[in-house]
Amino acid sequence: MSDGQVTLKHVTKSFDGSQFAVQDASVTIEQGEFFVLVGPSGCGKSTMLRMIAGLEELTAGEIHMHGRLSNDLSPSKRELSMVFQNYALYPHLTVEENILFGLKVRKVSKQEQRRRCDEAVDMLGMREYLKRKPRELSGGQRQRVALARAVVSQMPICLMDEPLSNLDAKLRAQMRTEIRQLQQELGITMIYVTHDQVEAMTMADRMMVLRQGEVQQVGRPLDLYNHPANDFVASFIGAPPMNLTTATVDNSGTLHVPGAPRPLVMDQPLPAEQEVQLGIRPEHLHLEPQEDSDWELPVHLQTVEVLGNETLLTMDAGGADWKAKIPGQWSLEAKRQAVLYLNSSHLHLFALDNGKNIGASLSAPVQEEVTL
Amino acid sequence: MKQAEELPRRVETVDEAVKRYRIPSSRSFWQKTVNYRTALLYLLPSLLLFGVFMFYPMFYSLYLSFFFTDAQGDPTTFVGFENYAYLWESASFRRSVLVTIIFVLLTVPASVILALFLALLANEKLRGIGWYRTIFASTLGMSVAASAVIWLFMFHPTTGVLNAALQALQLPAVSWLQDSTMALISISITTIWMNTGFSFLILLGGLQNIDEHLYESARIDGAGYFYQLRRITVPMLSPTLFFIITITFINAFQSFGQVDILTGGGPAEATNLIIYSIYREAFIYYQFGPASAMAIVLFAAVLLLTLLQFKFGERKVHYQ
Ligand SMILES: Nc1ncnc2c1ncn2[C@@H]1O[C@H](COP(=O)(O)OP(=O)(O)O)[C@@H](O)[C@H]1O
Ligand SMILES: [Mg+2]
Repeated sequence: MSDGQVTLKHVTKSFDGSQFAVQDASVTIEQGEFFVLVGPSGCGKSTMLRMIAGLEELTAGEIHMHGRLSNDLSPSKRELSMVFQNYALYPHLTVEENILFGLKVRKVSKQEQRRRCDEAVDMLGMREYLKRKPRELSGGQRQRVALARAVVSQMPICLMDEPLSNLDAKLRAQMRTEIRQLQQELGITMIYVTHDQVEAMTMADRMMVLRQGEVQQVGRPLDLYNHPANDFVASFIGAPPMNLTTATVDNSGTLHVPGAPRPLVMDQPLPAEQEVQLGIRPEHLHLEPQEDSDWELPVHLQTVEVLGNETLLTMDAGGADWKAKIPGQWSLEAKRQAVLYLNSSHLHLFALDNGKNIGASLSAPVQEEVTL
Repeated sequence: MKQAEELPRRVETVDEAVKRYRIPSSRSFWQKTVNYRTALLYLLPSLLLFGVFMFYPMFYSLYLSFFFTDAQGDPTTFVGFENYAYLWESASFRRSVLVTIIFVLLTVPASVILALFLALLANEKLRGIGWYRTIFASTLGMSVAASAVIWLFMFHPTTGVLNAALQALQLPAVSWLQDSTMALISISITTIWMNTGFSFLILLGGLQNIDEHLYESARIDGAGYFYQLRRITVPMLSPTLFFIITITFINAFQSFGQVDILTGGGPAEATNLIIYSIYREAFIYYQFGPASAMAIVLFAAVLLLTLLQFKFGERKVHYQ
């Protein structure tokens, strides 16, 4: 049984025959999984989702749904439901008629329609506006109607294209949890598109990061966060993004970082001297030495923003713009020198040309204190 | 407890708030009406134009309909409802009413359905569809006289292209404009053809305003083309359809040019629409009194029917 499973094999789409909208994407999405497609606007997320839905033809590659090759299957035969970004509610029908539209098309019996509608309405708490038209609803209520349509369809796969992007921040956070809960309650496969990495990180079982139609990395949110495959994933996931700066590796595997008093050492020397990108997450930077701090970097502070329980610093680190997120309230003066302390095992190295994670780990050997 | 009682009580109703806290405005009547006076200034040119060229003639017609007139159209004797009574008795006018009703029934539904059909075709995303859109809309740019003359040639019994086509199919020739049944049908065909461009364009615009995602959602649910047409397109298009139906309807009552050029109301008054008989009464027989009475009757009928249409048609319209 592979009901609810979706497999993409070398899926490729080009609208104009020269540029890729989606380039050679392969992945297997398992039954019951919450799978998120994430990437900046225009990277091909919707196109990929629409190919899975059958609304867009593939230029090359294969789509297998429920274990069967489905390239030429019509959307209605793919046994899926879809929630659109603008909800695609029928403006001339009441909420109830909207919810039942699909069931009527599929000639589900009247009793069954009633039962499923009641169930979905209770699940989503929307009984009081069942008789209203969509234009009389708030954004959040419309969102619920769109979800209810997906729920009553009882399809094993649900596709959602940026369903929360029209909601305000608070409602968005609430709906995130609700959608996640709904998916788990129903036990369906969810393929969810968003440009918001926070949504991806908080909702996904696994996620796929796309950039200009190309798959960058597929994996569990924390794996992507801790082991980004390249500099794009590193800076796309996490807010504020990972700090990057250019450094030089010499033949012996020693890394010279602009502005740093002490070099770093790689565990696996590179074949030749070259420039690389050094990355570190803002929360791994500290203003005071920690127990595990083994490296320090002098910077020039630009701004200091106190956000209640944490303080956000922007700074110039050897020519690159960096950010640091430090727990607690720090009333610091901006526009002055400071020293950042960090643990070198939190550093990431990326190749400068293609951005790939070099996969080397770094250490900071303690030097003889010549400067004293 | 005591402290709580001393707290000032908040007003509970709007009335109370008004009574207790409303302060008189310091603006004078002149200041308060400044917006209305500005609006009136902007309206003045169109009010003037409408007044001179529409309202004045309308009221003058009403006035004339109560008089006998001389050949110049000046009122001579007040006759009360005599002119209306004359119409009521007149077999020719009753014939005109009947012909007009048949004409409206022949043209309005056919025009709207044809335009909707063409708009649906032209709304498909196909290569070169722009050409078809231009062609379908082209009758919009043609004057009534030009269209009527084109059809006059096509309807010609011996040299017309229509009879030539019938002949090629081994079918008997038709007396398009000479036969008293066919004449009204021919006029209707011409009118439908003339209506198409405008209706097509407006309906196409309406179709393009419908969110594509509605259809995609319906496709995922498994709705076929005609189900989508019935349950999505037509309801979503209903405000546009309603507008088109109303306009076509009013236009049908005012179809004059094609009658004048193609049949002149004949044969044997078979195409003598009310609007055409008004013209004949006034400018051929110089009977301005009865002509004005007819104009008033026509105006009242169109107004009444349009109002009824709004009252009953609008219920089925889904405005967004
Ligand atoms: N129907 C279309 N015709 C031509 N190009 C398209 C079409 N749909 C999307 N594209 C292009 O494909 C790329 C990916 O679009 P899309 O999948 O909508 O991005 P996303 O949803 O990630 O923002 C974009 O460059 C977009 O311009
Ligand atoms: Mg998109």
